[in-house]
Amino acid sequence: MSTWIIALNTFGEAMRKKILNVFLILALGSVIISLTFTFLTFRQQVDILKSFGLGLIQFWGLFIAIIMGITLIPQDMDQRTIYTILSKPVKRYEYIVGRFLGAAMTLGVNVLLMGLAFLVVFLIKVNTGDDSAMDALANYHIGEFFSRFHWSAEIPGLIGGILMVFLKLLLLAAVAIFFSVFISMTVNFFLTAAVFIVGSMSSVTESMANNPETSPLLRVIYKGFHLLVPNFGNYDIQNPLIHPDVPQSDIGMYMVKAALYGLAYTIVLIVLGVLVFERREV
Amino acid sequence: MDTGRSRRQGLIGLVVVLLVFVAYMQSVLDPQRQKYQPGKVTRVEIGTEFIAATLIGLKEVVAGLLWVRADEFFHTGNYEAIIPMVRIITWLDPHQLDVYDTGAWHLAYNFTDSQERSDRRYIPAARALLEEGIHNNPNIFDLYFSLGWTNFQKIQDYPDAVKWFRLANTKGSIDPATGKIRPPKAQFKDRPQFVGHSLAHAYERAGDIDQAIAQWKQNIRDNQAYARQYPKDQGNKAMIDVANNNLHALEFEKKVRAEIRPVKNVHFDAHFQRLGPRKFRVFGTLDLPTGARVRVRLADKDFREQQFKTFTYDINDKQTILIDDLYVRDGKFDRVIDIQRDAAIYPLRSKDYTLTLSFNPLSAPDFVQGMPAEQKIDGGRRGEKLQYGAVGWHGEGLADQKYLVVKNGVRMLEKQIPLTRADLA
Amino acid sequence: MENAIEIRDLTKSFHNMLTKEDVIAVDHLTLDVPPGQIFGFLGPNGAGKTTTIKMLLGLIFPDSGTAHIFGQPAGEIDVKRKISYLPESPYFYEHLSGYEVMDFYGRLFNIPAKARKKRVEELLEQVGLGAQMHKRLRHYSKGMLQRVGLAQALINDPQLLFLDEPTSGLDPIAHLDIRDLILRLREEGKTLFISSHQLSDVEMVCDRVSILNHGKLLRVDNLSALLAGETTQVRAANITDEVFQGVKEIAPESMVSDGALSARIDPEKVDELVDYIRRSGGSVVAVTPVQRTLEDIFIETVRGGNLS
Repeated sequence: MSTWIIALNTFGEAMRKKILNVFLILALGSVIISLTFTFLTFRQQVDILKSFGLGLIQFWGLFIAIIMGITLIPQDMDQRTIYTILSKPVKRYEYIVGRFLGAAMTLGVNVLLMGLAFLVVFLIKVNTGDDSAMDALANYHIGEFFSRFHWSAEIPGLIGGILMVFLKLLLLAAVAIFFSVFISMTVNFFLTAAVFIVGSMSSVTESMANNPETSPLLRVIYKGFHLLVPNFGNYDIQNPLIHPDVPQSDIGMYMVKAALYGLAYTIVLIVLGVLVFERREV
Repeated sequence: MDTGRSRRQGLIGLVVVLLVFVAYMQSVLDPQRQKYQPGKVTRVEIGTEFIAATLIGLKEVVAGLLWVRADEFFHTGNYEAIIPMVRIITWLDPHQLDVYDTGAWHLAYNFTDSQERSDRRYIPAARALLEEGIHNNPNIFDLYFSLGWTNFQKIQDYPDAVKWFRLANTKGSIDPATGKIRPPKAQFKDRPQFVGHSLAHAYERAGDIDQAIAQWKQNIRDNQAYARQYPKDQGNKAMIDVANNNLHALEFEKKVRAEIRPVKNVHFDAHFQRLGPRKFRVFGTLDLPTGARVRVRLADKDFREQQFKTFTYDINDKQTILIDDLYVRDGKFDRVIDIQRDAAIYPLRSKDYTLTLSFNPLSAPDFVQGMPAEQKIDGGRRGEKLQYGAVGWHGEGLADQKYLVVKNGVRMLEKQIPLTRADLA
Repeated sequence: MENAIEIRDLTKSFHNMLTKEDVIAVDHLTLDVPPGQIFGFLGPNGAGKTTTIKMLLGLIFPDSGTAHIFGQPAGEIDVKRKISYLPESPYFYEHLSGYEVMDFYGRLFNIPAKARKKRVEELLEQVGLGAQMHKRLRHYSKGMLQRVGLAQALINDPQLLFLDEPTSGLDPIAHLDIRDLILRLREEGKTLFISSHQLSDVEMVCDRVSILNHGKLLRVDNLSALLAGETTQVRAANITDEVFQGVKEIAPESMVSDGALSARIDPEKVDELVDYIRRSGGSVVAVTPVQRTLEDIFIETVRGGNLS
């Protein structure tokens, strides 16, 4: 119960802080800007729109995830608001989980809004051109607009891509929150960023683990490292979404597995955060 | 206190179990992830300044931005800047076909000397770039076709052009509406026609006339199939006519050119004259109709074209290779080649050079190979005599003894003039 | 009746990262606070007052010893329902209004919505923030934040309140308001545990006082007992150094300058001292009875603690 109250409070605070709204406006603006590369071929414009859309959602999401993750808990400790919360009947795990869920809600709403904006822009884009729905709309032929308007077969894939971005951000927020329980804000910023960069290099860590020229012992170490580091790279599947021509067998199953992976890892981090926080003096 | 401890132990146990699950899932995800994440970081050397953005999953965004930037360079003629960007972009996103295509085109055509001859040292790089693109996009016809076309038009290696056009003709194309690959048969309507037609033309240039005829017949069948599939499109019907005309013309040419015998001595000869430092004249005789061409090739004596396994723009800038085509007018050719301002393209580092002047009947235009004076294909007169002096596809009409060489069954004319740096520099 | 607070041998030390030494913040503290009292927890800054309170709230954990609140181990969730805490210079989520922050704390106690609304409005009214309850906290003054702090400490109608320096840095009016509130709470039968280094506040309201320094409990007693026992001040002139030696034997708390003596002694010893001064040729100037203040006791105790 307290978990939920703290989560809602966290979400409300994030929504009232204008910085998040600025990100939202920037994201929307950038998506619209990405519509303007008209000197490219139509297909290229669609590809660029997709890569920009997915990329920008992730880019702004990264800011939100890291900033919320590293500040939420240390800020309460620095400003001593945590005394008034933990001296009330709130269990320490409820506080951590509540803070995390609040961050997750904030990320979810932001990604959702950015994602919707992106999909709308995308649908407008694929309905643009000669004899298109948008063409009809421009000439005030509303009936024509509806008969010409078509959904894109790419929409489900793009929604999946946006979901993958969300899962990635969730995992990142969990990393930041876990560290924030015992590490100062500034150090945590660089630490989380470092973990994110290393975790995004899944292909590199994997190829290190599989390099036959490395000694077997080192390979085992690399392998363990690769398997246990939070692999944010698992969620970088935008390429087949941007280029539907690339064969994408089983991408749905892959997304499900990646989601399970992320969920398990997120739980690990939050439970570890709780274990540390329960022993921590505030 | 005891309940607290056992609860903590339970939670630690949960963490361990979940971590094992996480590690297991990672090993399940890895093989599949590679399919969705193209580009092997270890294969290509990339400046570290690009690593940061690309590592956080924004590869395609960076690639898109760079390509937009490259487009600006293209409009300002800054071609040197484009090529490194092509290297980076194709590394970041190996599925941007236009980047390979445009990049290879820049490499093959846009580096030119002061007399508009392209820098031939970039040809292997262009070829390597397209081969890399094909490796990364094996199911789409575009880059196969581009490589075929570069061989056909720029390099004039017709057997190689045939090889790539044939492959292109078996691949799918991207549907511009959905971005998905269409299989080779239910095709985007423009694709098979020009690929199949190019293949037929390449067979002809390669000297394999029977295959060319067979391909034209195949093209007609393909074009008819497309016309049935897209009955509204008048263009498809027009393409059937084009293929028909080409087939009939070729069959007819085959018939009349079969009778060509070596009767015509074209008195091919060629000379080199030094005009000054890095300036010389190449001239000679070739008694063929105006429009026939003589190919000039000046290269280091021991010139070997570079071989690239993967695309690099790090060309060997010590090599000298110059290729030009000279037009014959009134039985003569004459050209002043001035490379004074092109020391970067033609470094002249070797001691010895070979200047080769050649005439290849397969590259020659129809009217040089032999065409009836008033040829009409449909309902027209047939069996007209060939114009005087037809050389045929394979040089069947050439009677020269001097400088005649036979390569792959083709009777060519070729004169090699050894030169030293003193002659050129 | 069980004690509101029962502390036994509570010890806590911190590691100083700079000097690499362990600093003992609370040293084998044993203390009982009966219910219904206003308990003054006194000591100079750094004496270990806040550390003790934090241990009682379960915010930090003792190295050894135990603390019970209403018979249950300190820090348990059930205990927290009955207690509340006003930290020193409290800080709340400034994106919320006074009403919202109170509502938030009310939710943490699972107070039903209707009752919560009523209680929040009542409490904000009580602490004098009725008119500003819908303003964001970022626009509140320090005094207003302290009032919010008090209001939030009352949201659960606690039986035991921990007030850490409740009047520090407040303007005189707020000061008085808070003191009135404390007295009202006593009337309601609450137990208050007030840490302070501002003695006059405590003197006015406390039933019982403890004095802590360097983590050690130096004195604990009812305020009346502590203050009991008048002293008498004796002033005299013409006291030579020789005579002063004799004075000191009778009245150790005495000093002389330019022959003028000022001495403090028990009333019973006044006659003896006056006799001695007269015999020795000094002249008594004044004999005044003096009421001891808490400040005297505080300084006396802390200094004494220092010496030992």
